[in-house]
Amino acid sequence: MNRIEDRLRDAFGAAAGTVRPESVGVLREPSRPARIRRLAPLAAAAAVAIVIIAAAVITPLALAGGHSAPSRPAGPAATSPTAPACPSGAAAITVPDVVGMVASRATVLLMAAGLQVSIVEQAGNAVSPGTVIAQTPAAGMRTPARATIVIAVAAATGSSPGPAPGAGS
Amino acid sequence: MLTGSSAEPASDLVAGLFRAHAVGLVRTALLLLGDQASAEDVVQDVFARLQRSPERLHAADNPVPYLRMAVINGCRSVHRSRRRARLLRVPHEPPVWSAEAAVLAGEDRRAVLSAVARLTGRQREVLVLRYYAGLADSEIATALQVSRGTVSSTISRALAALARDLREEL
Repeated sequence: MNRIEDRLRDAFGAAAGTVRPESVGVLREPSRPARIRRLAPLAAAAAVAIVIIAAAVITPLALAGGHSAPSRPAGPAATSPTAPACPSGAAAITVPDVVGMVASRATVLLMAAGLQVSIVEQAGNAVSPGTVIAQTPAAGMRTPARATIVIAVAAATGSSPGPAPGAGS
Repeated sequence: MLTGSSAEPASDLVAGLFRAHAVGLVRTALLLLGDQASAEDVVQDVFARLQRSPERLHAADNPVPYLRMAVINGCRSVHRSRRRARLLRVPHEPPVWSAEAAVLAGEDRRAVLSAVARLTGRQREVLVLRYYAGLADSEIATALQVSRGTVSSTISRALAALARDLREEL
């Protein structure tokens, strides 16, 4: 057990050391509290409902052998958490363009805009790991406040990629 | 010293606590969550709530246990929403030890941190408090509001799980 304990102390110490004091920044203004990266319970419930409805709509189309049925059934489901329908009266936010940014900077930017962030890892090809490859909804779209933006981030080599978020189009 | 009768305005008090403790708290949250961005969000959230309700500190002579517990609760909340995200099949990135590990020297540390990430939340918390924060079992018990017996057995199980996991990787 002593060996494990030493390894723990060493690994924890090294990982903690990656947090440089300069990078922690300053206390944020109380009028704009930080949004913890999470799906709001309402958006989560809406996402479940939309997934069920989308599956119910797409399945009969696929079974009918319709070539016109969308070939990426995961598309609507993947983008549903971003609440595409802007309810009337809700404050609308224009989605900033974060493609190409380092993921941490993109996250800060999106949260400062009043949005929430969900990250999907994806094989990055020539893109350096940690860079945003795609976002949904796309930049310029209008979404309600606290909507979730899904960003695809280039994975480090060797890690398994997540499914494509079906950005825009 | 922390009551409103002092001349120091509450906002300066909170800012001062931030300057003194934020880095340590972000480091603790990093070990519990796996990525610095999430860790910073949790800590900023704790201090934002403190700025809105500074009376939360009034009972304590030493604010550190309160801050530490608030950060631990924030991290638990992040884990709950990550689990919800997985249930909804909206993939959330796993603890980003692989990315951070590019900065860390050695396979060994990466293996240890990956194994820690696979433990339960409570097991990870007691290990971080003992082997990073250096708290005694009695202090951990107070911090997490559980009995000393619970702390001891949780640590034993966590270490045993790690020993199994890491030996298998070799």
